Amino acid sequence: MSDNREWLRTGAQLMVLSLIDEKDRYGYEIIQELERRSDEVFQMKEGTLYPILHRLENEGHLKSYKQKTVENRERKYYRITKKGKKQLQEEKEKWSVFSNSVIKVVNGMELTLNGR
Amino acid sequence: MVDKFIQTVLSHIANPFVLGTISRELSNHLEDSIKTYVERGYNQNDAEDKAIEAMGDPAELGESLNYTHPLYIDLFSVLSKITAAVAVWVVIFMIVIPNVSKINDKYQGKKDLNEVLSQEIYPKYPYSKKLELEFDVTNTTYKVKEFRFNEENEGLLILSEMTRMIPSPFNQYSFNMECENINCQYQSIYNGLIVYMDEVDDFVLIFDNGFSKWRFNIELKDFL
Repeated sequence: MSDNREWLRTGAQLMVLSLIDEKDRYGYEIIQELERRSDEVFQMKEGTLYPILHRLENEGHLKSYKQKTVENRERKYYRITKKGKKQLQEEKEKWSVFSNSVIKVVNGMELTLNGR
Repeated sequence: MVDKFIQTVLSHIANPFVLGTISRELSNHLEDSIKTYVERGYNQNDAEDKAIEAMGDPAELGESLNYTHPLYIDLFSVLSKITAAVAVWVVIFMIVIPNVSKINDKYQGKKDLNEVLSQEIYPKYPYSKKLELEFDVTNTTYKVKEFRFNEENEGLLILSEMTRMIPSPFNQYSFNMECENINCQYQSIYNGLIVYMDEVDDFVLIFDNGFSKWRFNIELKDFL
């Protein structure tokens, strides 16, 4: 269970970092973008984004700043730091190794099943 | 509804330093989300319900944020900021202000000194002879611009100093003054020397810095 959570955490962190790596973004924008790009497969509870963003900021992977909208509302934007870019690169590599292994295992199982 | 959701989240967070920013961030998120649902055709109340539902369990979110923002880290950061601010004020009060006021005093002092000299000291020596004399003590050239005196045989040499950039290798900071032809004694005041003469007559003024001597003829006879 805890491993599962860890993978979910890593996956969410990777997606958040890579979205912010493209451009500075605020929380709701990230949620919308996640839903749009995953064809609404990733419909995480929106609140869970904020502990991830805040933790990434505490760790120095993100830096936040405030900007006023045209309606004079204050939005908290997140920008990726050098440390964050490095972290993103490492996580991308880890994720790629992990997903390849999953595919290999799953395909292997299918082959075995088909062979019966 | 929105307020209740945010209050529930905040009630799980012990760190008071993050409550404001979290509250603003969540309420902005909910506002954006409600707007999106309204644009999709929901009425205001339903849009609010949908937006809040999409956020998830407020208690769980609050717990998670509480874990992300431990109080001790912010306390430490706030304490360091307070310490730094106190240090800055201590420096300002202990060093900057006294020095600025010293500079002011000095400036003020100079202003007052000029007034004192022209209003109180100079009138005691009504006769004035303009001079253009120079002598050196270490890296300082003294100029004597004026000799004032009175009928009580008291004189006043008014000096101004001009500091040279290159210090002298000789460590000589004082000078002697002598008079020839008359007897004289002197004491220094402010920017000059009071000269006590045994008579008012032409005399030779000698400055001696230990290495060199400067001799100047001072003619006072014409005044009397």
